[in-house]
Amino acid sequence: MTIDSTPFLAPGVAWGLVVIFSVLWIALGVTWGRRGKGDADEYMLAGRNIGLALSTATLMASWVTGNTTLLAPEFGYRTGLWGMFSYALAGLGLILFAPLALRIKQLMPSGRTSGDFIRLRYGRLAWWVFMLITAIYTFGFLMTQAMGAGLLLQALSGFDYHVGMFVVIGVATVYTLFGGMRAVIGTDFIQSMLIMVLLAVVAVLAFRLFPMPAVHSQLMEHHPDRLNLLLPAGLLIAWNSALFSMGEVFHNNIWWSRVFASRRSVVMNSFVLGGVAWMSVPLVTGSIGLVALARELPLEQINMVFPVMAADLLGAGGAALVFVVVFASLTSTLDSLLASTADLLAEDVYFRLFRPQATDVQLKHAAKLMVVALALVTLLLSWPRLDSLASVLFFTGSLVASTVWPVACGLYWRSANAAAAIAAMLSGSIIGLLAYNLIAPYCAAVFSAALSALVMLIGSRCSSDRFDFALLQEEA
Amino acid sequence: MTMVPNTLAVLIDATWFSVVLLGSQFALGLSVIVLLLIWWVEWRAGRLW
Repeated sequence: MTIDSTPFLAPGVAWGLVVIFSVLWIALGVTWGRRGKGDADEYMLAGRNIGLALSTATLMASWVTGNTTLLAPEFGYRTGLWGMFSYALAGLGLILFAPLALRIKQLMPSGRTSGDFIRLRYGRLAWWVFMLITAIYTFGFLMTQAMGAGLLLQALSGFDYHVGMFVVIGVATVYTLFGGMRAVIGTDFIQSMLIMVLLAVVAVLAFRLFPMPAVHSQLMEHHPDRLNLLLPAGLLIAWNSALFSMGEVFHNNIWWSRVFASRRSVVMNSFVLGGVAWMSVPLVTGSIGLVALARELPLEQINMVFPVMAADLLGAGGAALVFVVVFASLTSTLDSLLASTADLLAEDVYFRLFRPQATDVQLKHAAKLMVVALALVTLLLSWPRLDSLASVLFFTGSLVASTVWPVACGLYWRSANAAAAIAAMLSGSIIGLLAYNLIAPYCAAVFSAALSALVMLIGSRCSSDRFDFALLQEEA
Repeated sequence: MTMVPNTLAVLIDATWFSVVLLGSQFALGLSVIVLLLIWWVEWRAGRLW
């Protein structure tokens, strides 16, 4: 099965599903967006009073990306159990961020973005380094989701690559633009439910048709390495995955915006619950990759293993289920990226850097403009089609893993200082990129996080600086 | 080049293989139920948003 060959789903059915879910997301998003006071905090942070259910679900839905439904089965297919485990370990990023989330909520009750924290804690120079890293990561992430949308919808339903990409970005942009963070979080709840329920249905049906003992004996006979619990590459990928995810979560405004949007009493629990719930998703989708391997299913495009398996086992119904899961995964991640990145640009660049005298109305207007601008830039960057997205993902790992310790230490250590944070981010990024190029892409985050930890530790211990955490309580 | 000896391989048996896969499916199902339950409790108390 190649991306250009026969689609799994009749285009008419696919268009029907797209129309139904697009209308639903936009209608709900616009409706929810009308609630609340209508000020900038309402638009950017949904009123700062989100409860446990919505907070947990939005973390889940944002973290279930197109990659989780495509790359995790590929990991299972290529590296077996450790492929699944290593992808699932990305959930550790959310779980380990939980105590930091509570600390952020305590230290910055009026904060809006991760950039706010870096600027107030380490100053403007560190902020520039941090913003460069987050910009590269965010555009890489946006591109992988946009290109994933084009490629997936083409493979599943025969849509033209550009049409599929335009539809997904367009729908996510419309409801994010009109409903703000409240629309993003509200639709995330339904999207996370859809993703989890439909994945469970696909997995249960798949293993009913091809039972687990049969899968195990086939793997034992033909691919015993996939069942090896001491697979060296698997162990390294697992470490990399955990550290990469920590870098993604600790620095990116997707997760910081959820901290500021949630009630203080639920913020820690939502990150723990969201992380634990999320971990089951790549394990389940990864196990589908194992079934494909056991069945010796011919695959020309390994990242299509999940749709191929679903269509092979469950026919057109299976293809329709996968289509809905993928559409929900892509829109739930894209809306979060658009909203939180627009907040970051509006708050940190427009308001704090260029127009500190801007009114609340102007700030909200700027955030809306940023949503549209980001969507257009993403469309432009993703227009040329690239078939390999994994390399883009691993490349950014070398950068974001270097931010873990400057963020974590900055929240707890008074002695953490600007020079150490800048040196940690730069040295970690450089060693990570070297490891990416000279050793292997999947070890970049390990090197980056290790060196930046060392630099941050030494730089903080040798410093006589003592930061006053009260300085983080800036007026919104 | 050092060859990794085969004795380092630890292969998971059929029982544990099933435990891992069934456990992940159970965890996924449980997540849905718990999340819906929390949503219902918060919705009844008017504490969703």
